[in-house]
Amino acid sequence: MSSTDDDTRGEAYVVVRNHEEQYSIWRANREVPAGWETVGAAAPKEECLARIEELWTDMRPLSLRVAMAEAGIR
Amino acid sequence: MSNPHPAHATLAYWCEALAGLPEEIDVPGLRRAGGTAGAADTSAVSVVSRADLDPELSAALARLAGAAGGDLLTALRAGVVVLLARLGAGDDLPLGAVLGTGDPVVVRIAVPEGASFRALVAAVHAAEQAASQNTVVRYEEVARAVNAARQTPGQPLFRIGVAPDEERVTAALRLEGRSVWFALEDSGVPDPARNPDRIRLTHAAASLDPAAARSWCDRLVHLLAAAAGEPDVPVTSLSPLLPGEASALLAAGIGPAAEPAAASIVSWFERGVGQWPDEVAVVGDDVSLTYAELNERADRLADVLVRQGVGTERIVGVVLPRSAGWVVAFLSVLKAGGVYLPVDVGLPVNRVSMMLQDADPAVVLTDGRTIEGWTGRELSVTSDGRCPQDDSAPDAGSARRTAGVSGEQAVYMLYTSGSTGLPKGALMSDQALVNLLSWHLAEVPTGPGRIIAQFTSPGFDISVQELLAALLTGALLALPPDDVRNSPYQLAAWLDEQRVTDFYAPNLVLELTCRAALEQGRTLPHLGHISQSGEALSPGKAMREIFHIMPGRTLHNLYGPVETHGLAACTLPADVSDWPTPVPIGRPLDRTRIYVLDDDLQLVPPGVTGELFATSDCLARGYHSRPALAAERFLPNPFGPPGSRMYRTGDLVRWHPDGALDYRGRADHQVKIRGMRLELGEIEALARQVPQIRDVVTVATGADDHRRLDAYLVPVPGADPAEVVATVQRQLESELPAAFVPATFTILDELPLNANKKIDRKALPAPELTRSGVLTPPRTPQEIQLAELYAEVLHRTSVGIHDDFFELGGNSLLAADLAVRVRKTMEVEAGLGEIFRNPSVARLAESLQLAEPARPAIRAGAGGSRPPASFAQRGLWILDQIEGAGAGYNEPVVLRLEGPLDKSALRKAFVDVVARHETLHTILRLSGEEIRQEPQAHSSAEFKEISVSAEDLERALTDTARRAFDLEVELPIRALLCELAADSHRLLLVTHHVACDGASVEPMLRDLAVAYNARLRGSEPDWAPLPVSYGDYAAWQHELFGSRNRSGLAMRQIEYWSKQLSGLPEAIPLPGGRARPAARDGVGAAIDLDVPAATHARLAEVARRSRATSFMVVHAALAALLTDLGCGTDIVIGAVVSGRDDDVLEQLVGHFVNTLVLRVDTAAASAALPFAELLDRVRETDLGALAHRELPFEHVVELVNPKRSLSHQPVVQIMLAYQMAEVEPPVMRGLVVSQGRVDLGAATFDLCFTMSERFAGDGSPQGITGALEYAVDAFSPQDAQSIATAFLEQLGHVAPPAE
Repeated sequence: MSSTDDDTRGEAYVVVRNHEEQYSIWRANREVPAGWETVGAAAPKEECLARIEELWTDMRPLSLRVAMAEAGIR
Repeated sequence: MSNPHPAHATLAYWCEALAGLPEEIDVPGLRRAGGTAGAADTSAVSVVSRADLDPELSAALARLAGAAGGDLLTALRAGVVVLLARLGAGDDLPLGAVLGTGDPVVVRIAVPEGASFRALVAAVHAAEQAASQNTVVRYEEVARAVNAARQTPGQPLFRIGVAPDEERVTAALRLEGRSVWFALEDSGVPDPARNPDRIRLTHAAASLDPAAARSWCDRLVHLLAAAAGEPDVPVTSLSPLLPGEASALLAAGIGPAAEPAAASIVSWFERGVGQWPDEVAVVGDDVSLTYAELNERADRLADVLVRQGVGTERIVGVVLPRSAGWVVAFLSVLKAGGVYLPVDVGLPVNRVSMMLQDADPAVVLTDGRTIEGWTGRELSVTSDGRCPQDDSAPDAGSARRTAGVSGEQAVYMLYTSGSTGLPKGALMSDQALVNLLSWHLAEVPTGPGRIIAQFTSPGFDISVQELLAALLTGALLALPPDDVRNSPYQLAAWLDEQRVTDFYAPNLVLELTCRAALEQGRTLPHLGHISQSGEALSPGKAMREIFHIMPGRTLHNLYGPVETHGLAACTLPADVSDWPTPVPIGRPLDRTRIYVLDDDLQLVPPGVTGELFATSDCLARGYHSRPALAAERFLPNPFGPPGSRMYRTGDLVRWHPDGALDYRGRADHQVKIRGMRLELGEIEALARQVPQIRDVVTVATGADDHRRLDAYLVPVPGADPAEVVATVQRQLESELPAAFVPATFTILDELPLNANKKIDRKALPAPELTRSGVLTPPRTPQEIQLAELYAEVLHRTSVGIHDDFFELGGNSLLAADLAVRVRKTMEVEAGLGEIFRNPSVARLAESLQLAEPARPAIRAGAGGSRPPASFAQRGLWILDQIEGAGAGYNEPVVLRLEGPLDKSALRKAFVDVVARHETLHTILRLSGEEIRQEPQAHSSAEFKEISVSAEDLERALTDTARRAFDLEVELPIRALLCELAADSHRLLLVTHHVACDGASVEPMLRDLAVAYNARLRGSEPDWAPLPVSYGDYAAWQHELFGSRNRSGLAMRQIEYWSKQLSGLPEAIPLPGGRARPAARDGVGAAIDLDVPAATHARLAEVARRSRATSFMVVHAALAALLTDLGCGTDIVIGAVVSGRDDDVLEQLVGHFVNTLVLRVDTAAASAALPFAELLDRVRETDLGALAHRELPFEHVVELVNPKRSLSHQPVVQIMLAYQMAEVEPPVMRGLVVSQGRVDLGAATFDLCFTMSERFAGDGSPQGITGALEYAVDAFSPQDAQSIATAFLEQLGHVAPPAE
């Protein structure tokens, strides 16, 4: 079993997002699991992670954001 | 086969081709290979399994292989490679093959990354071709040659083979009985027109599990079919799973679907308060609160927090010591709707401020202390949970709280180590915590009347479980004071006295606490539930005993990283004897799904190690403000439900056949130390901040409780290594918890890289444990016992007396363990503080010296101008008079000096050394009744220079070395400088034993080098004066043991030795009935004795298990041998002790050694004395002798008063001398210095076994070098050789007793 930080073989990844607007990455050559959508084009892992740093500015799950808004909490 | 290579070239080919062969193939079902090659199990019946190969498939495979130049067998080999790789055997696979009709050969196949089956077939064919060129050497010979370089030499070269047919499989099994063979066969009559239609697997029953054998055949056919269908996709995408297996694996990973017990933690707690308001909720120090009081105070503090702006998703830092106030603070944060961030008050200030800066809490709760680096809002909370800054009116009414707004809102945040040098905060949601506690309280039910200890650190996730297991159920939470937490003894007593019913702790703490309880005679009758978390659970003797004596007590193993809090758990069987080893981490918790996946995120077959992934209602939400990190670790879950995430734990596990998970270690560079998870990258990142550091790598060694971190540093050129180490150490200590600071720092010029230019951790050298790297063996019974205990606790084979407990990987828990063992074995109280203040064996022994009567100190100046001769000097002087001056007590040292030598500087340096050490410029003279030391003008020491050819060198050296000293006239040292060439010299220093001993060589050579380097510069050596002189020592010795006023110490020792040696035979019979000459001539010769590392390691292991030293084991072996050789059963052997117990003697040149008479009765009641029993006797003898080591041997001889004889030495005729390994050559400017040898040709004793143990930097045994010196007038060289051989064989046969 190789270590998890070794899988940077320059392989292409995609940025994916679920219904709670949580982000993750997925290998581009594999089918994206159900309930996730691709955001943007495939790119090396580091680039995808950098993009996520920019996109995922509010890390609260969507349902929490909605619940807080409904309760009148900023 | 065309043009086969000749045999020697073939062997060379195999040694190269098989270099670095995997030591073992680890796949489920394949049993470890024991025994030796060859006829291991030929009589055993072979077991055969079969699977049908569809004719079309075999035709397709044959075509595929044919295109690459191979045949169906080539394709079968490639299929077996894929099978083994997918079963976890790695990508470097040695396969057995029978090429032609000869012996099996090894076809070694490296699976290229991303290779397709077509590419793999080509690679296999190439490997077959290469192997077939090299078949002229027999398998056994290849195995012998290759195995010489392997760690486990008995291992077969391959475990799994592929052969064309049954006939050759049978032949191959005869040569390597531990192998497993695939072959092809026909189900009917063989037909050359078509391919064989069946796969056959043959092996000895002991090699492979029968179920595994069947599944191997099925999986192989399945994989071959998949590969033939898609020969161009990477083989890693071919599934090894059989139909239906995937859904079974997924089902096994699903935890029960129980309903959560409440909507939120706060509502759950408040519902309970209404049910048991008057139960006591928390007891700590002198504060005790009922549930109603606790709730009231938490409400009050929650209101204060809300007024400070705390609410949903707002973090509150809680920097409070363990107290009722801390429990109030925890609840108040949750009630306010905020996020509880516990910060252990014991962390380094830099880490605390870094955590607070990263978390940016709305407010920090403290006990009034100021927190360095925190400038935000701060509130103080008293130990009973009040806030002095709360000035609101009692009826102010409650503020609006936002707890329970959503199950997704965060309730706590815990920091965990991060690879960038910055720890990351994992956020846990309310719903996750509710789910965890729902499961937990169903699994380990509790309630009013139960008492739960709050033991774990607040920064550790289990502390939340402890708090809530009590607070949600009406149980009592008992808070131990810090000093109780840190001492297993106090903790055991506290658990007993507080009647604690539930206790959570990591493995080592549990083991130590159980042991302490048993020693105090406490059965802890109230303690019904013990939960282990944070480490791998491996119950030892004490833990087992605690459960054994009280049936009904249960042990739970809880597993889960911070990001999931809990993932899996198991409750151990009621009967201790049913406890499995290793203990599994169990089955998934409620509403949790677990997947064991490979690198490609595919399910691995049962039993194969993979990485643990999980999706769960317990999953953390992510990392605070670290989107990229969260995205990398929380992945889309391909196994559903849609949109769900799975967390990559980094833990390696495998499915056990019974459906539980076994923990197998870490997949990445994280380690767990005492429950805390740690990213090695974090340490490395911090070390890199030191400007003098160019590169750094850290590695963790050892398992579980005994894990140690070693750091390797590459400084920038020109940096001072010592300074670099000190700076890095300071840096890490100020930033990291103590357990994360490496135990060792080793300086390297560069880090070793592997072929892929990655750091090759396996190629790192053994860490430098101490600056000198020299193991100083123990000298006293106390030191021996302590060194044994250190070694046990630190899991090392040997520990030097100057090694620092903490530098060797010790920590406060292990120190507590050591204290317990010291108390038990030595019956001395060693407090933890004592160990911290005196971390080495030598210093601790000194501070525990209570057991040994105090000796008077050696006083400078006590010797006066004409001190008496020491007893040893007197003995040697008398011997000299009786036997005539001989060379037997000359001690020669030869230095090879290569390079430009300044002879005049050397001559001056020699004079300097003679002047520095009193013994070297002293003659011995009879003056009245007394022999006295008379210091002389030092310049009279002989220093000769000669030019000599290489051929005549030996003779020149031996002539000078063998020339006797006239002790009454001549100084006891002389030097001979031989010039071989302008730049090549030999310096011989000959010192009489009256003036030196083995341990004198080091200070003498060091002083010579210091003086030479100074004289080169034209100055005088600038050395610190010696604290005392040899004369002072002699005066002290006379004061203690002189006949005029015998000290109590002397009396006790005299009594001991008289008893011990009463009825001593005049001389021990010589081995083999050899006769001694009427008068010995003192001529001797020597034979080398070399004990290999493996034997040395076994001797050390025997010593460890028998609580003995390796000297004692060798002593016992020698005693047994002498009895076997006809020396009788009253075996008297001499041994030497250094006699330098007092530090002030360390730098002196002089005779301090003493000879101890070790007398052991080897007689047995029955036929043969078991070795273990003999070792017990030897141990008792040796420890007794050591406890009475000071009485000079000359006194002992007088006590025994044997009939003097010229035929043998009095009392001791056979010696066993353990010596320090050869000293480092001194550093002399411009010269390359090494030590040479000169043969004295003398023997003082009939037989003298000298031995020097060698150790690697980590203390592991590396072999013993030694010599057997023998008197040539008693033994022929053949006699001596056979004794030496028998001795080495005897040592080789010593086997460790069962643990």
